Amino acid sequence: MTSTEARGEDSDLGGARGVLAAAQAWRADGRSFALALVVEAEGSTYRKPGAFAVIAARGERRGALSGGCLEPGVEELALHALESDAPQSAEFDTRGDDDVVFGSGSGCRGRMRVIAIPVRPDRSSPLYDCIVDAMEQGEALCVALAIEGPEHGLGTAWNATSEIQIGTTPAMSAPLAPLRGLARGRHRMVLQGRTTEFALFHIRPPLRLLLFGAGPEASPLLRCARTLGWFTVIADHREALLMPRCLPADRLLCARPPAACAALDPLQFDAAIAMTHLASADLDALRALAASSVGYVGLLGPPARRDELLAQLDDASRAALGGRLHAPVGLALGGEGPGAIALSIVADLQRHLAERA
Amino acid sequence: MDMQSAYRDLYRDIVRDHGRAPHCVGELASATTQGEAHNAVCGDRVRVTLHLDGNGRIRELRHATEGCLLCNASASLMALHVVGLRRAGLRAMHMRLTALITGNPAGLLLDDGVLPGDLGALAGVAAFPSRRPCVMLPWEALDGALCEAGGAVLQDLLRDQH
Repeated sequence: MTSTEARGEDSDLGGARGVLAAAQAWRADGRSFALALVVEAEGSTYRKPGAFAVIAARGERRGALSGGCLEPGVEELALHALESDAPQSAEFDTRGDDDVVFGSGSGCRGRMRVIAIPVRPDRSSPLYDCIVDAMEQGEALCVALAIEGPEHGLGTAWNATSEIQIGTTPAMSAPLAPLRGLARGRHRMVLQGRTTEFALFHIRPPLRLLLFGAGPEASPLLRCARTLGWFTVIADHREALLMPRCLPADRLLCARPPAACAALDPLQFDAAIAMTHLASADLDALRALAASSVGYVGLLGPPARRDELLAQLDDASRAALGGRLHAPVGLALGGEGPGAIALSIVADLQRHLAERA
Repeated sequence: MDMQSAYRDLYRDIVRDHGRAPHCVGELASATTQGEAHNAVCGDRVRVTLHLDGNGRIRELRHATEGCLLCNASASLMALHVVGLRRAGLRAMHMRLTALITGNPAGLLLDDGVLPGDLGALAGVAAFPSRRPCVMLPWEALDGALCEAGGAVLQDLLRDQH
């Protein structure tokens, strides 16, 4: 069994991972930038709480918080944060008639609050650093930030195992502990003796996808996944099919499904798809995935083939797959060929990801 | 409704009306000069053709604007209000409009006072700095036309804004 780390150009990488890849490169080059983070949204807005972009001192950016209509304002906010070396927040409100005529002109009718936090190469930035860690570990992050008054930009963040103070000390943030039990949204808490409005939101990690089979639809599927910023691993025992140049996955693994599962720990994945075009290999994959807790198990191929494969599994495996099995995998969009199949699979995975949120 | 809200609604309606049905649209067959300006970020493009008389006075102006509602409204309002002006008058009007949309009341007191007619309706853009270029683009095109005719009128001011 061989394994290859095969990353494409960072410019191809989208989603939150693409934003952080650019930010990490700036940081390595000793450049400052602002992390612009959506902390509240109401009505129709392009992005939702937890979305972020990064903007460097010369106005370079990666990521978008709107379709373009609000970006000049976001950039202005980010540059203000960099110049003042302090968090800055602003509300972008497109609900009024004045905005349609004089403002963004978007007509979206929504409200979004953005906080811009300076990140400098010569010092740590607790919120930025813990977002990077969470994305790398594939963990969701809960964040509570003060959005008004002298404490704005301060707060706390936590995941299943740890808590991080953002500009506060453990003693200062102790009164914020009840936030852990509250729903996303705005909450009033006491910080440093003052009642302060907090925005509580989640930052979701990218979808983690495991593919069994490097057939013709793997390449367009992985390209789409990379554009969306998903973390991907592809496993196939046919060495000739595992061509890194054509398969922009985070990792390529030359192994049959049972060996791949043993090497990878399927627990780390949100979704896995059996798409080897070989009945025996797909059956091996289904058997291995039945024993895992991967939430979405896809099987490529027609219903009759699915039924034949399921008939070869034991009762316990069939029961274990239960409602997790999506077969035939993909949304019924119509069309044929590798590109259309890849699109239908990506579309269904995106639906699954959105429902999970 | 208070007076301020009433004015805001009125101004918004004026801008919307001009934006949706702009005046003085097209090409002037008798044009003595022409100018064009575009904004690569938002894609707005304005072309003006005008007829200057022997004294440098604008006799007639037409604009062809491919842009947002605000850019169309500004081109329409400009076209209605610059006819009859010479370079000094254009410069004063341009300065007052700049003061208005940058929220600088001191600038409005230049020369003989406020902006004529409906041009003041563009004041609403003062709260949205990113949209100011949409208002000023027709004036850049006008400046280009005046340069073409010989001698800049607004160029220095336009440069200062960018």
